[in-house]
Amino acid sequence: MSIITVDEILEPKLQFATGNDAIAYGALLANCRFFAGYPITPATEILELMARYLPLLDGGYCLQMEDEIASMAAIIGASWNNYRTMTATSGPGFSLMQENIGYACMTETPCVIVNVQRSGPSTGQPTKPAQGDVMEARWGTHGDHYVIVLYPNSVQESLWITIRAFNLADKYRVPVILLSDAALAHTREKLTIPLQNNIDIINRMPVTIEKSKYHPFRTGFIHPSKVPEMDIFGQKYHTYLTGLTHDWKAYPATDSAKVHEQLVRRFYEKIVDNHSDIVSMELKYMDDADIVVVSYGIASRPALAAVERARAEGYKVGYLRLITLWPFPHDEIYEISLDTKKFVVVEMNLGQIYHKIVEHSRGNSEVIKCFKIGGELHTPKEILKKIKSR
Amino acid sequence: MIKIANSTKDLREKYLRKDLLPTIFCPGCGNGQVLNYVIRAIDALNISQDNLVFVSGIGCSSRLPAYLEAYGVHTTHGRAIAYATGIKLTNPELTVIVFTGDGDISAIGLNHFLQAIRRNISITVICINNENYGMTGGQVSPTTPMGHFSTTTPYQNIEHSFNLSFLAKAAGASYVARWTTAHSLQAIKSIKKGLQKQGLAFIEMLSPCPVSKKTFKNTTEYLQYYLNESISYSPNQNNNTSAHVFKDLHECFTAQYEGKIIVGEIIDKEKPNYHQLYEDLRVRARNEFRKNK
Amino acid sequence: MILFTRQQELKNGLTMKFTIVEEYCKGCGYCITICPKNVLKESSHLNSKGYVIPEILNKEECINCKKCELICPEMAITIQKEEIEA
Repeated sequence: MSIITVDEILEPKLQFATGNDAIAYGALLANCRFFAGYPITPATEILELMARYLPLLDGGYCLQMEDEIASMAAIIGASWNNYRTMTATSGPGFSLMQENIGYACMTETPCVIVNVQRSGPSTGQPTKPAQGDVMEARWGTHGDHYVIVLYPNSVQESLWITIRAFNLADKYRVPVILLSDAALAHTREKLTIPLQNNIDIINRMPVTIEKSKYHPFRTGFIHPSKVPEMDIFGQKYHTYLTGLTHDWKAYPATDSAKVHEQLVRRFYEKIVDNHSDIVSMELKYMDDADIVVVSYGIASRPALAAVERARAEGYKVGYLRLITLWPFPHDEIYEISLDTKKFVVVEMNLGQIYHKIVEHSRGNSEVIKCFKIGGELHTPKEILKKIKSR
Repeated sequence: MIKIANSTKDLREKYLRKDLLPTIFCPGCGNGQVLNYVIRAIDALNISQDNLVFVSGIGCSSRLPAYLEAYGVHTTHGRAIAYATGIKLTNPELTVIVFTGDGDISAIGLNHFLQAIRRNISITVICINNENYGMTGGQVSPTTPMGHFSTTTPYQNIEHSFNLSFLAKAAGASYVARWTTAHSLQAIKSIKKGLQKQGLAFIEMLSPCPVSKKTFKNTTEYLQYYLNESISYSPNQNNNTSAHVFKDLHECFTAQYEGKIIVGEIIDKEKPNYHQLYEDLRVRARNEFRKNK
Repeated sequence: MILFTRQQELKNGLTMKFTIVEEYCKGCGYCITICPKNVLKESSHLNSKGYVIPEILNKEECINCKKCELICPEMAITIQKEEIEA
């Protein structure tokens, strides 16, 4: 029997698909072969699609675990067998995953966590979109750590961003959180599925040196990067992983301030030093803009409509959409703030990215709140009103 | 008869990370003994160290993988079995051994334990049961017998305790054995059987905690207690070789309440494991996919 | 396989060599309690951490059951056969 390929399963062509479909397809194209999840509205479809398709592929496994904690644990474990792994959840499940996300940060395990946001706190509005998990995605697990957070705004972009999430996770050995929301997840749109050959895959750096010279968390020995090479279970290197503060041999060193500082600072540095590689945003009408509408995810769609209407009415409005939420594009925001009188921050929460804009515009510009919660998207009119406000 | 193949010195050289020795365990702790038994079982079966992954959660027992010259994963509290599920499934060539404590497995991680038994993942779970939370200083755990004192039950424990082996048996584990750390040869034999089992094997090792659980004044009293009060659980045994044959579980638990320690091989049965079933599923799924194409 | 009894082994000039890695020993005393022949006893010697380490009383009594070797939590004890020096 011949092997079934991803292209055979997805039949690359124009499809009419939802955001959740696009994330599942993106994961399959990015060579994700292990998925563990737990049903939760509005992310369940990703688990369902993976359960259908992964068993067809060589070495593909999809597991419905007993809870989100176990799902997160299973994908970290599988990642150390050189698997690209993913889980998908929504608010309550994402809260449960936080402990093990911290473990992934500490052991520098690449994995992708999809959080299809819904209104919270607690069970909230399961079928309604929200953007309330932006800060939780960054600061959810305890202690100093760094994660990459991405947020697409269309079905097509969901597919590309999913592939990018896997590449970033492997390149920087960090958990990557892919945010979506209930609206984007269930919106049906045009989706062009590429052939797998046309996809760029950046794999993690394998260990190549002999055992006596290899130490699991030593960096700067073979290449200058702050990302260590990653071992795979079943080789000769006998890596020991621990969530405790560990030295470069991976041995626990819980009493040493120096070891802890070096380790945790490196988690920051490996991301911060590569800021320009990770950060991405979409800018439109920025050349002459003195008002900038900042938005991300699904909220950017009414925002763009509002910006275009305002332009038609003669306002000099620019459109800035964050694709990478974390690391936050602080320098970029500062530079834009120098020529900007006013920022309008459009979010479906009561102010999360708003505070970052206030911080990094450093008083150069006024920052206007345009918040909406309750599971309904902004209307362009509401945003337009804020653009026009004095 | 168990053949002791290599001398302890050779085993130490081969399987332990010498730069981390001596261990962090208190004098008389059973963790080291279990480590000793596991090493002997692995050595007898000739399992390659490259293919060995030790997974553990949080607690004293969970520090064991650090000392072993093999792959080790020291994970979050109670989640070791969930990690092991991901590890074993994606690389069935690996021998995955989970070291866990009673707090890990019977309190915070009980669900993962029962679910892994239900799935019948081919891992060997070794629970070092010292009937309290040793690392944090002797708090009550779900396996602490009723009536015992601990730092969080200063007026005696009023909760009924779990017998993890019978719990595992009830959940459908394919292999369950229960020994104390004084039963060296039996434990090694059971660990060997567990490692060869295609399915989840659960080995409960009752272990002394002379520092945090002050049942006895000194370490040797623990050993004497284990040696003198253990009775083997062997229901339905026809050939009456054992001195104690229980008629039924009730009789067995009565003995336990009277302070006896029930040890023995609780169950050993064949059951399709998750990996086999998944590969069967894969064939079915592919056939269906091709048919619909 | 030929099994030698302990008496035969003694006749053949074999005795047991008890070695202990002092630095690993934590003085739990399990080896002393478990020994069926009471060959081991607490020594007057402390190791560098202050634990009382065991010592062998009379090696001729040792029957090579290896119970002490198996029970040792620190894997510090090794029992090996050695030739009796004439």
